[in-house]
Amino acid sequence: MSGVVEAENVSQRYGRRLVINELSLTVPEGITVLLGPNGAGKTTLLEMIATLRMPANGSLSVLGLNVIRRADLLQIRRRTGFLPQFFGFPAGFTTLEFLEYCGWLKKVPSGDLATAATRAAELVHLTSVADRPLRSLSGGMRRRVGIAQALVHEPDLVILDEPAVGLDPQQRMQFRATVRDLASQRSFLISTHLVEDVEHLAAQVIVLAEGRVAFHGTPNELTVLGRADAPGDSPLERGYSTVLEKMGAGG
Amino acid sequence: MTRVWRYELRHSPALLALPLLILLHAALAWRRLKPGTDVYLDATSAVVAGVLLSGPLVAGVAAWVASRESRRGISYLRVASPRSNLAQPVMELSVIVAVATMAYVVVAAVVLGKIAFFATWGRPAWLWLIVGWLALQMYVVAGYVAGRFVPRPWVPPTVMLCCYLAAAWNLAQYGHWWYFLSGATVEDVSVFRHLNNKLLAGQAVWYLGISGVALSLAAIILGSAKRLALSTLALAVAVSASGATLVSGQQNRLQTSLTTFRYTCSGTMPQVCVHPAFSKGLPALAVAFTQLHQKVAGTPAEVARVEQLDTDPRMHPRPGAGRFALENLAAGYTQAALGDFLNVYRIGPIACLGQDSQAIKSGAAELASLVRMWLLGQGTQSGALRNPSQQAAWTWFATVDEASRRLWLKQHYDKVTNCALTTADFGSRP
Repeated sequence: MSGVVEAENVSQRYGRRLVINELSLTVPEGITVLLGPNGAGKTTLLEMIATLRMPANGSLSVLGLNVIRRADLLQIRRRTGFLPQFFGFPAGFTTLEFLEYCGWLKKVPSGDLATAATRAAELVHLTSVADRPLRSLSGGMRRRVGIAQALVHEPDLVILDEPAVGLDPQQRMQFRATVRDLASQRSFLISTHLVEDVEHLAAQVIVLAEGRVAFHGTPNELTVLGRADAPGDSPLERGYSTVLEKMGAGG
Repeated sequence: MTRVWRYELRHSPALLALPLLILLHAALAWRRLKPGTDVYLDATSAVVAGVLLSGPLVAGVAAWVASRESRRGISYLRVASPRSNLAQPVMELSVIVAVATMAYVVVAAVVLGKIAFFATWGRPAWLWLIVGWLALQMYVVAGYVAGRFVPRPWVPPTVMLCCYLAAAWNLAQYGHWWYFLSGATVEDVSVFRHLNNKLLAGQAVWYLGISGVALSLAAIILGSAKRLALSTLALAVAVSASGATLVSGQQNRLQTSLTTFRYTCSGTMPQVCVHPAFSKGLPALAVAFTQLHQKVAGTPAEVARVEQLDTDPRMHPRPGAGRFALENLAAGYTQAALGDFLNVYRIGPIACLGQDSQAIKSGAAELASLVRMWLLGQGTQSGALRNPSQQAAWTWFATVDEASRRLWLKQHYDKVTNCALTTADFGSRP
């Protein structure tokens, strides 16, 4: 089965440190959540999939396109949306202006920019603040703007790096509901620290530890792995802890 | 693109800086305008000189805009874009270029517009105006690239300060050929000479080349089409070198051959002839020279015609005519013109320049100075004389009637112009 992302023996280094270590995986269509402790390589992997950085070794294809080939690379960028972990934005722009700007960067035809921006704002329920400067929005609203900018060009794959950071419980619930609504049209690859996101969102879960895939399966399969004495408040958390302990990365 | 460009413009710090840019540029340009005259050449020079203040400021603003991506953490937008890596920087840069151009055009329109209402001669020096605009854009590009190279908050003020210091240093380099390679040059120009278009073209090529070098380096840093960027860099270096060669070959001559024009002349005796750009000052000059003419009648300084000429001593009036230089029509310009006319004939303390100490001890310079004051119509007060015998001599000169003074000048003209006056030359002694 071919997935939206296929990696084979992909490695990446920061200086001497091996961050992604001969990683191989296939991300299927739908919602996939990437779990892992700090430093596991989640952000690096997502940035490679979003083509912000190139793999040092191995092959990586996104939506069936090879990230190494120039023509493919531009196609991937057209067809993917990315929300980085630290979402920066031009504070003076209004929501709609910013979304149009992102649409322009994603090569949305200039005649469709306004429509695309309005539609993206609607998708994340930001219509009421469409004309407000980004600096005046709450943290939760800004996060939704971040998701909207990743959607403005109607991508086939949306990559969200820690999208729920800084959101209060109600905002997190809203965020998950939004992703579930949108997932009928496109695939999502979401990295998170929060095991509850997996419970409520994921069709697939990938646990990353020390730059390798420690687990890849459904949330139920992860739950089954959990030992009764493993740390965690829920069966899924115990499954996650057990997987990390096996990899020796539980700390 | 247009919509997004408008958003970029609306939120660009460059737009916020526009009023200050205009203010600084206009302030210096206005200050550089020569008072009383309405000469396109002076106005053009003033507009170009204004870049001295606005250029470094816009460089700082450009550096600030360029480092915005790093400050805001929005590089992911550019890097993950299917557009060229340069598309977004080019848009940012084009906004700053547009703002800088707006400031330049506004100042040029105001300054040249003022001239257009009253000008009696000449036309705008378009090439020089374009060179000034290119210099301003060189500041924009340099600042922007510096901000991209080092996107730190301290970079924009540092860029601005360095540009101001470099411009100030360059002003002290006047006379060296590299003076004209700076983005900010301040020039006094003469209406009697043509602009050196070769020098201006050299400057234009240099500014374009340097801007090209900076842009190519930025393209290389941003990692877009490196081979093309390297080729462009090589081309830009060659263009810069050509510009520098062209400038260095012009031997610092911003102006070259004499212009052709018809003097505007008075119907008085002597006939006073001025450059048409100075025709507003002709009536007052005619009156002043007529009065002087009456005083110097019968001496070699009596001429039937005086012509305004450039300060360059290699320029000569028509045979038999006197000359004077006049750079503007500021308050006291008639005195300046008469003074320069008298200098040509060495009437006044100028006659004692380079003379031996004996002549100076005898007070010849002081006495000649008082004679000159009388000729200039500045009265016959003897306040400057400390020696009682000199004061007595001068008291005699002040008390005799005008006809006697003129007669005295005719008799003592040689002594006045050779620094040989003594108290014995005056009719009274202590």
